[in-house]
Amino acid sequence: MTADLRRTAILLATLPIFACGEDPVAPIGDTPDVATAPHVLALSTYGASVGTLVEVYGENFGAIDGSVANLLFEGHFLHNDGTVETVSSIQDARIVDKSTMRWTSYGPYANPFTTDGSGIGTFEGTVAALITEPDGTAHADPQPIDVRFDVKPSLLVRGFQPLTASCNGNVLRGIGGASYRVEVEAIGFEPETITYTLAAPGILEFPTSVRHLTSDKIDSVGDRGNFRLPQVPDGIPSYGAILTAQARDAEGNLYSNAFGFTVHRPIGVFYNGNIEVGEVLEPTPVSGCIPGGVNGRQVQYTESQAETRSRSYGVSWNQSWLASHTVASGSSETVGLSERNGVGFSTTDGQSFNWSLGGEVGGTFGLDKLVSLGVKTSAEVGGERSRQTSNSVNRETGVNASSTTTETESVSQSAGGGVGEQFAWNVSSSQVISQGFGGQVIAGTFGVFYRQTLRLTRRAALVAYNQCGYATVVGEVDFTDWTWSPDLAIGNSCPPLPASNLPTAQCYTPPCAGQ
Amino acid sequence: MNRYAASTIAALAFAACGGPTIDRPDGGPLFEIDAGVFVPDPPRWDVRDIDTRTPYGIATLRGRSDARHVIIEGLDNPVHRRVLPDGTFCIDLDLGGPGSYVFTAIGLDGGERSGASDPITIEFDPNAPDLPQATTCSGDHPAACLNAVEICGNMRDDDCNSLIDEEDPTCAICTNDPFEPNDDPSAPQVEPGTITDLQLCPDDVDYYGVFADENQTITARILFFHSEGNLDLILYGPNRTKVIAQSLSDTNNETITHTATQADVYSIEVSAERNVSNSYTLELEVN
Repeated sequence: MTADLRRTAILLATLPIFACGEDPVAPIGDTPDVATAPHVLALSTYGASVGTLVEVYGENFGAIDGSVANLLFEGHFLHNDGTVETVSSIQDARIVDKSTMRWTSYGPYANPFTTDGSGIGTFEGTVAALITEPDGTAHADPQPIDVRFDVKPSLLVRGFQPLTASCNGNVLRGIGGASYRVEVEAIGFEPETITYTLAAPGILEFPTSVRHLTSDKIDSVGDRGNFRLPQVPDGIPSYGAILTAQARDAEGNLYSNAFGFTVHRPIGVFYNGNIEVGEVLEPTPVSGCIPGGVNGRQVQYTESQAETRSRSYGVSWNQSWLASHTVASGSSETVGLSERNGVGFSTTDGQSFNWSLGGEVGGTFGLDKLVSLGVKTSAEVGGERSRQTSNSVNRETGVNASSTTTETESVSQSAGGGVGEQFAWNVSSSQVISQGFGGQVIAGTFGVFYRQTLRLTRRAALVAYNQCGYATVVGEVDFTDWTWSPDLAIGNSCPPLPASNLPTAQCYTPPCAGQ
Repeated sequence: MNRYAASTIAALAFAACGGPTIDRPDGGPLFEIDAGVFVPDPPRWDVRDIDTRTPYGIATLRGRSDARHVIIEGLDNPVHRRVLPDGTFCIDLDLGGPGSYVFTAIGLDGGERSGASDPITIEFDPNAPDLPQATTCSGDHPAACLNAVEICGNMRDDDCNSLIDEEDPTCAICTNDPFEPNDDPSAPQVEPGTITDLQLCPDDVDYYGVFADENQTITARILFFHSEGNLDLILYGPNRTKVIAQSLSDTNNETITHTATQADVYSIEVSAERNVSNSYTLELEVN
């Protein structure tokens, strides 16, 4: 008997024991369920310069959207100069699939094993996985594995921010159109040249690249304004950029550090995908009586007259922010710029904005386009607008989620979402209700098609970014959308029309029809 | 075990205990077999392709797995390899020093791990007989890089220093300057100033990007001795194809000047006739 068959036979033999009984696995105290707990088995490399993407392989990394992954390092770091420091560090990671994570925070700014973020040497200790589900349930790795990880000579990014800013730390996001200064420090080697490259796939035809000869360990680029992020093009809410610094020593050895980040306009509409039903209207018959006849009949949805509704949005600004950050267009003053790391705005109508970082850097945007991009649309917008206030609890969830990451691949792939999606400011029931909807009218009965209109509300946040990329919610956007549900009602006679199976009218968010 | 055997058995047991079934038109029960969880089999070593006693410090392990990943244990750190589409894997392991090493492998797929493979023992004995037929995963002999020297002109990195032919100082007849590689118009920008000890090697072209704002004037100058090899200087526009200024004299030094019509990156080319080599200094002003 082969091993496979043997195991199959054993499994079959054990079936009667538990097959019809209660769950044989009973929880024992707080002992983690090893069978489902995440567990690290190996890293893709055990020696790398800071800023290198490191993959982590293991079991049960989960596939729940929104789960947060971390790596826990416990042990000590042996510096090359012989000093030792204790390590107890939680690092960010991202789940790729159930077997793979990416350690997204091995750089670009610091050696994660040391308190000052500097130094090269070897980490000796354990690494474990920690997966936290969206509801806060945490799953810890019960069996951390022993590893030795060499932090090799590296090029650390010591500073990355706009020329006109003085951020307390490094930026969370880039601002399109702004010029940046990048400062790096070589640790563990003597650089001869350092090449800085800024790439924005799909945005920049040619990457911006600057090479410096240097004999110093610390070098910087961009002071002349020659390291500028392109403006965010029309039609997309943001784009992904990748900054790479690569040093070469006299022996020709190369040391790289690359990280990705998203580039935004100074104001954007942040929409996290929430959607609410604001109102359900009374079902409306849209066909005449359809007899089933002697043999019954198959019928497809038709409507005698399509219903068309206009999408619209309302903006509720934070009035104090609006008052302190904008002035009438044409004024010599652009309020907000005087604020530390602020961005200046001017507007006359609350719709069209100019912005600037002082001097020649700046741009324009219109609120209509921001809203359409924010709800994943790209078409021209128009129609009704209002400035009413509305309430929401979830619209800001995820506003500050962006950060720099060594996982440059995902940044370049994910940014710019929403391009190409079709959007019309008017929406019709004939577009929404599937042409394939239909049913069987049973012999001797009658059918009638109904249509029910639903008003939906997507709640978004209007977010302003300062030069350091930190987000402030400065307004609320309630986007009103419409959709329709079809129904085939069956009755023994017609007329009177058989009653619809759809629910009766409901008003969840006033004002509603008839109120 | 067959990859779906366990889930099939589980589905049978579930149905037998009164779980929901779907009636077939002929009245017989129809079991819906859940695709279930795939648990990979333990990897298998290709024992015939593994040298279990080696005089080299590299162990090359080959095997097969029905998983997408394998994890090899036996050194300080567990080591990962992706399994190739044909179900094979190969891994070169640096052995720390002479001695006996025991390796096991597990398969990993979809968050599920296999059991461990049979162990395999590799003995690293520097006094063991040479293995002339041995190959690493890249197809090289394990000792290929030991005491090897670069062979010029064969387009291979014979001495394993990541430098091929003329890139390797052993073969270089003209030593490149630190700004290499800059052999096409996408070469990085340089900052305004003076850069000395630049070198144009035979059949080489050097490019330098230069950023200028609108209405700024770019002045580029190369200083060299014509008697040691004539050099020419060309400035390209931001599209990197259109010549907007050039200096092609047959005397010492070349100079070009251009006022930028838009804020962008312009491209400077330093070139020479074929086989000409010369050193030069680049002076660059933007104001």
